[in-house]
Amino acid sequence: MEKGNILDIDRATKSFGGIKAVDGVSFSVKKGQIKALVGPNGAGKTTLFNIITGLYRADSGDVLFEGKKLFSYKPHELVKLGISRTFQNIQLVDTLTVKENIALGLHSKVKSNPIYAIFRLNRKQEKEVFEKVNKVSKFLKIEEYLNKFPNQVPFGIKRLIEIARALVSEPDLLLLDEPAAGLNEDETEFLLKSIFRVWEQGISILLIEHDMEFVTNCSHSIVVMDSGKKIAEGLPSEVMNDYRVVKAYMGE
Amino acid sequence: MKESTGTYVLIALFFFSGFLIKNPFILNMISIAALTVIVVMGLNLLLGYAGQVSLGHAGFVALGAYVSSILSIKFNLNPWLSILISSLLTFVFAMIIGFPTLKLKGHYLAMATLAIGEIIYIFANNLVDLTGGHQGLTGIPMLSVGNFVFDNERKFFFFVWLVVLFFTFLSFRIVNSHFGRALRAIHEKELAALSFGVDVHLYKVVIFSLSAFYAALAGGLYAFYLGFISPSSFDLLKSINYVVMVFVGGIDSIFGSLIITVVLASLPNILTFLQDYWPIVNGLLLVVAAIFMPKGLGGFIRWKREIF
Ligand SMILES: Nc1ncnc2c1ncn2[C@@H]1O[C@H](COP(=O)(O)OP(=O)(O)OP(=O)(O)O)[C@@H](O)[C@H]1O
Ligand SMILES: [Mg+2]
Repeated sequence: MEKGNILDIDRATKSFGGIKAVDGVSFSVKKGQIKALVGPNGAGKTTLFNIITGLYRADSGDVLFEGKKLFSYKPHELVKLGISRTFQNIQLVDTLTVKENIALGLHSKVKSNPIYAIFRLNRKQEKEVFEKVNKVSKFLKIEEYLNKFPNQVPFGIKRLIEIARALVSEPDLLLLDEPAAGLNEDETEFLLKSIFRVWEQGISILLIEHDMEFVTNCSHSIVVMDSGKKIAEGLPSEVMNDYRVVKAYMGE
Repeated sequence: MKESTGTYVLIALFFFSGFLIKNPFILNMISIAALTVIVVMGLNLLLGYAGQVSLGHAGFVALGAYVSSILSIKFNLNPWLSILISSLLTFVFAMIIGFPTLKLKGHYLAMATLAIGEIIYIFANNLVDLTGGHQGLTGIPMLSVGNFVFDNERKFFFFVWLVVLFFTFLSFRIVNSHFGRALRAIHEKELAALSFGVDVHLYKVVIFSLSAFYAALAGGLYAFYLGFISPSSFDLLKSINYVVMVFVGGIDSIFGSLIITVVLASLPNILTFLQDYWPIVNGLLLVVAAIFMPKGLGGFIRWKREIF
């Protein structure tokens, strides 16, 4: 019972000056799969995310989402397609409350322009947005922070707010860039559980992570990158034993 | 208290002060300041909320003033209609030049908008047949409604504060909306905004054009109030003044913009001995604001949050 792919990355390449940050990387994420992308610092993981989400234009290669070529879409059109992401270095808006930050995830679901704003023509839609925000924050247990500003909440909560903002649009594919970075043990455990509960809703997940243990605990398949190249792919157990991975991690 | 409530109270205070102030010089001074408030509120939407600088807003004020005056003098159009048309034309003009310009960021955007303002200034100076050149344009008719003519300082004073009220209302509606929240996101985390579906470039162009509309309408009223305009009212120093007012009043504070603009627009007329040195005062203010109150005056006040 082979399921189709939700995401196909085909020989994606991106250089910055002389550095090949991503060098001919290909792999796929299956529908309903949790896939992990690991590799040492500077391996090109975040760059690959930015290529997928259109923030960087790839030098060559292709990315297909449910068979559609992503490079023909503008970055702001991807949420509508069903892709959303979190950022490694937290990208919350400090002048918006937590609630409003999460609501940003539903931006494209509400008609938004000055005329609508002045006459408040989207009151009903806005209400629905904040109802969804409440729902997703219950799911991630962050309701108590909703009316605070990002700089008033603990770091671990910020990571969850980022995830809430990505989840609120009910994406088909969720991209998480080092969601566990900077979290303590309890927070990491809660995050792990949350990721599974998201996955149970049928959302496919591609996540970047440094922590091998975390990755083997939560993913169905792992891709390893080093110096811009894919050096291994497979089941967690296989990849863990792979000689080249060990080498990359040991920095030999 | 909500920021909007505080701001409306302040506007009411200014409005009713019109009954108490006897001195026409002071009434005139505050009326001109109120027109400046409209420009600065518009600029604040662009600079304070969306985080995009413009060093050319005096150019849009000039466009509003000159186009409406010319329409009314040369084409005998009704003054109100002239002001409306010139403001809408400026809006469209800003949209057209905004499309390429707002692809730029930071210093480059500052330089490009500065150039736009300067080009408009040069046209005002050199299209002598239309604008009267540096001598200025005279004979602009007075505003009137039926038989009621805005022929003294007090009448215009009350009117202009109602216009300020109108634009304040627009600003609060825009800021406290889905659209306004997207502007704040663009300001701080442009890539996140983009990733969550905000068409960042389009939004920048829209808010740029809207702030040009604010400026042009204030410019039109200015022309018909004074009955005379000349390029020196719309030079680069004016554009810089507007930016200083936004910063000192408080980035993303409508209340702060209002109060600081009235103060800073009036001070040079009160402290006449400083008039020639005003650019220096402005520069000092900007430095002091940047060091001691990075969020401006408005940043000291904690308002109750308005969601929707
Ligand atoms: N915008 C950019 N301009 C120039 N170089 C960049 C840019 N973004 C990334 N790089 C370079 O590309 C390489 C890959 O960086 P990337 O951030 O993708 O790595 P990463 O695998 O996410 O690392 P980390 O685990 O530290 O987050 C690095 O050498 C980095 O310096
Ligand atoms: Mg990274």
